[in-house]
Amino acid sequence: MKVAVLDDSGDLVELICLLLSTTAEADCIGAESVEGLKARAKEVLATELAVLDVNLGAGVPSGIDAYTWLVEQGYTGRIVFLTGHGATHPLVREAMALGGVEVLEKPVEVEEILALVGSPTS
Amino acid sequence: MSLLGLERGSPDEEAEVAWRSVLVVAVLVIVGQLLFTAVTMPLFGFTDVTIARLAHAGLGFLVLVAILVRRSAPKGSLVAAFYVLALPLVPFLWMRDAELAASGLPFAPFVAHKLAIIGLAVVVPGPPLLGIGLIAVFVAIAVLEWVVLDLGTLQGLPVLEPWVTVIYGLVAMGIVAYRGHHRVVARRYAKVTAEATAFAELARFLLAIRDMSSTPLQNLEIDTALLERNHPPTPAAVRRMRNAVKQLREMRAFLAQYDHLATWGRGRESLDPEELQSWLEQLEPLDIRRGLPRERGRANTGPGG
Repeated sequence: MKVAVLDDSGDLVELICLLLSTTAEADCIGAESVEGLKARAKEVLATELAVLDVNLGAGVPSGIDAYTWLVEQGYTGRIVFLTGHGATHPLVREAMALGGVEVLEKPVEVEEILALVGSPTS
Repeated sequence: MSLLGLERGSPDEEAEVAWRSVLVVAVLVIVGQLLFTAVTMPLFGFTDVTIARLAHAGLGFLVLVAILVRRSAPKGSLVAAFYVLALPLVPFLWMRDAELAASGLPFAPFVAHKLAIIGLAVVVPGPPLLGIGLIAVFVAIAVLEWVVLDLGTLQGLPVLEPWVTVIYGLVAMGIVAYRGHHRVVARRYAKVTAEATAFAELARFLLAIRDMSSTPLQNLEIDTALLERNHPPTPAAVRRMRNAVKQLREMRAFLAQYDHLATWGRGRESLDPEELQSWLEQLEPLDIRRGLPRERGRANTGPGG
């Protein structure tokens, strides 16, 4: 399974990709910004799952912008938002109002991350 | 009991209201008495009533200067100043009506009483009971004048007076009571609004703390799981975990700058999670806990999720 991971924490991108590749044998494409995601458009659009951090920092495009770009590009995979903010944060509320997406709140248990790619949890 | 002004608001705010009331009544006394002096002098000459008018205007001027010089006078002094200006109207109105009655000229009695009663109802500061008492004195003096000066007979007026003035007094007392009640409601609203703002800021602060910890906790969660799954700790894993710990330390340093804001009462030296939870329960009416996690790891799912 091919997975795209977007988070402004390079460590977290690295970790999720490591977890998915070593435990679930997934191919992972990581990016720390929307621009980074767009730079690898061909690979990203070929993935079956996109895990997007909602807030990528002040004054830069957010995970919502990444979602919009993916939808505009005709992305057919599953989109999951990951957020460190509470459900009352404006961006999180915006993400929750989008159709066909899930919003997971950090810290997400490893089993739940693995379940996203259909991997056994133990 | 709040209707009678037994609930106290901010001393500064009440002093400001009292200051403005004294300012208004002082200006009205000065302007009103000087204008009436100008109007009545050609008719009656320089009489005792004229002296009383000018004395009252002078008193108004002294009080006006005093409150302008001492802008931050205590509320009690300002309320006293208001009554010092208002109460001389009682003997003054008696003197004036006695003079008018003795002159034999036709006049409409109690017009000034009614004006004073309504004016006082609108601006009287201090406890509503005191204001109601002041209006009662003005009503009582009208009734006494009617009887003692025999105004009904002298003027040949129908017996609507002094009851019309009494009704004015009752309405004015209602206005004073309503103003007192309104002040209490306004104070309560201001208090609740201030508390809501403080709680909302507190909620934002607590959420910010949680947000700051979420990514390093997520990193530790995954790294720990990888170690448990028999992945040997690589230099990269050690680096990530150190980064996560560093971020959590930075969060603690960030919080430390607010330590001095905490107040510690006897018996409240420790705060365990249960106690904190119990405290947060008290904030529930403001619904600040909506954003707190209901289920670990899952915030919510979108309509299609």
